[in-house]
Amino acid sequence: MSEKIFALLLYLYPSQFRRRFGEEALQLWRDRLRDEKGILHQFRLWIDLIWDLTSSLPRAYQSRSETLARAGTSANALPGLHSLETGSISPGVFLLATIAALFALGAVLALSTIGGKLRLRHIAVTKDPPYAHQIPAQNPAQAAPERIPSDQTDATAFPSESTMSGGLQAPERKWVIETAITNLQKYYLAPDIADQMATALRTHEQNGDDDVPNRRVFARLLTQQMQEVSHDQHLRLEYSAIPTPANSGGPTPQEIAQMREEMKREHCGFSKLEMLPDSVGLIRLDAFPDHQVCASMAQSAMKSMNGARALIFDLRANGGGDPAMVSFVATYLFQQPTHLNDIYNPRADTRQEFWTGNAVPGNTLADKPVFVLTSRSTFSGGEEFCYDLKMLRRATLIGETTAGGAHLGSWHRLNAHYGMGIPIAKPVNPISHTDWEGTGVHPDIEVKAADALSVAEKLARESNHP
Amino acid sequence: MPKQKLSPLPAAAFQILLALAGEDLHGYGIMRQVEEQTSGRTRLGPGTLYTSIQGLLSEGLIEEVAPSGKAEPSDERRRYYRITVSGRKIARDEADRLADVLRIARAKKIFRGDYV
Repeated sequence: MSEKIFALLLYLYPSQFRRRFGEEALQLWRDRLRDEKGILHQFRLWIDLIWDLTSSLPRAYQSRSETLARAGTSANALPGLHSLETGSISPGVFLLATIAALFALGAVLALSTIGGKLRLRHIAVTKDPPYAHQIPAQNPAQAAPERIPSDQTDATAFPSESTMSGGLQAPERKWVIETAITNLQKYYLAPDIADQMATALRTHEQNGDDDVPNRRVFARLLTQQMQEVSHDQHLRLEYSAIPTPANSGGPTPQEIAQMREEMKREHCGFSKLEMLPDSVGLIRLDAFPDHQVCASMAQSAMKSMNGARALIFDLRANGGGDPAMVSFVATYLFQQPTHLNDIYNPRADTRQEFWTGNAVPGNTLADKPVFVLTSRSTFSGGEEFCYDLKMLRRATLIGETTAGGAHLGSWHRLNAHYGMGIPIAKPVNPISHTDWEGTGVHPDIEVKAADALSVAEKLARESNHP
Repeated sequence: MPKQKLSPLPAAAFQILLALAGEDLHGYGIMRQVEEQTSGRTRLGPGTLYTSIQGLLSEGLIEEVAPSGKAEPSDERRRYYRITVSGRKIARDEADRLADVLRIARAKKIFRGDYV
């Protein structure tokens, strides 16, 4: 029966399409009927079909007229005249279209009646973090890098869209290098190293080391040259084929929504939450994303670990992120607000303190043993979590020495296609009075990253804690 | 200008190219593969699937091929599709474009003073 309905519905599509794909579509429908048994699946099948009809029908007709139009122009017909199918619509098709239209109308009416009664699932958005020592919200004007007069340079000196359409030429290379140097000397946290980098960049350019036609490769070369001098892994220059928007006043609401969606899909970096045997909780966290977007996700993740007698954080693939998120997650590991880290900006001579928040009501993890798994790839904010907990003797680090990137920076747009990340500040740990830049964080127990979990599991199970 | 019609590449067409990047598949196979690679988020209906296939065929991004040896006899109604060299290139370009979008998103995020 349903096969017949489907076959009839196929008549709604252009005859050409039906002749070519009708049999295949019918076979696909049979396959789905065969594989998707049960009322729910069947219901879903029909919903899929109706949705599919409404979205693909217009396209099927549009693509036909496009093909015809193109056929016309290729035969030197007058441009702009779309030839349409000459045959009239058959009564069968007309009848089917009427039925489909009535059906769609009914569906809309039904939805609008019951729609009001349906409770929309509330999408988790940012809640206030559960700690009193709120990190002061950064003033966007302050946080955003000072605007370099890139727009003026766009217009006067260099790269306009049209000049950038071909291969990479010497004037563009020179412009990018000089603009990068200006920014380094203005913002990079160590002025003497900025000068050394400037010399290195210019020497490489004069030696012809940068003579590559590909802009992406060029950007990578400059990054390497800067890192050879500074060994600063946060310092880099990137090329984007898609023009980046000029406004640097922070992301637009649309971009924030998109980012939220992205983060939700990625579970805010919490790629694994598991209760291992003997109530050992395992949290695999691959990033510390913006805490304004991910606080509620982190809350529920940490809450799900309540009842664990020991906790393992797997940060072996953690690439870092927001220092406020580091404090937010660490809050669950302390009974009271604890000073974790300071961030010092040498040029402005300003210091920002990072503390854990007040004890979270209902949290049972504050006094449980904590193990953190590390690897050579654990980077940046991931390393901060390791370093802070190590200094406070709150966790046992197991694995490899981490990557060694401690600096914090901001993004500087050079023009629509080039931008660079320039470190402007560095952590100063309140206990060690230094950071892990270049050295990495050394584990307490050094084992290969691949073996870290089994070692930690064993220790966690043996840990004798009330 | 054959590229014009599928530029920008619609999401469904991109998913189909990705599905075919691994092996030659028939329509139902493509649908299942897309469902799998998007963790169940995208089920291409027959209309969307075949209008996309039609577009991809006419742009030369995929081609029809003879069923592979493992095809069952009941498969005679099914037609198998394979990604072409230009299909691969378009898919790669689209992936690059998405990587750029991601880069911009990342760039935006660090305006708030994150670790870069």
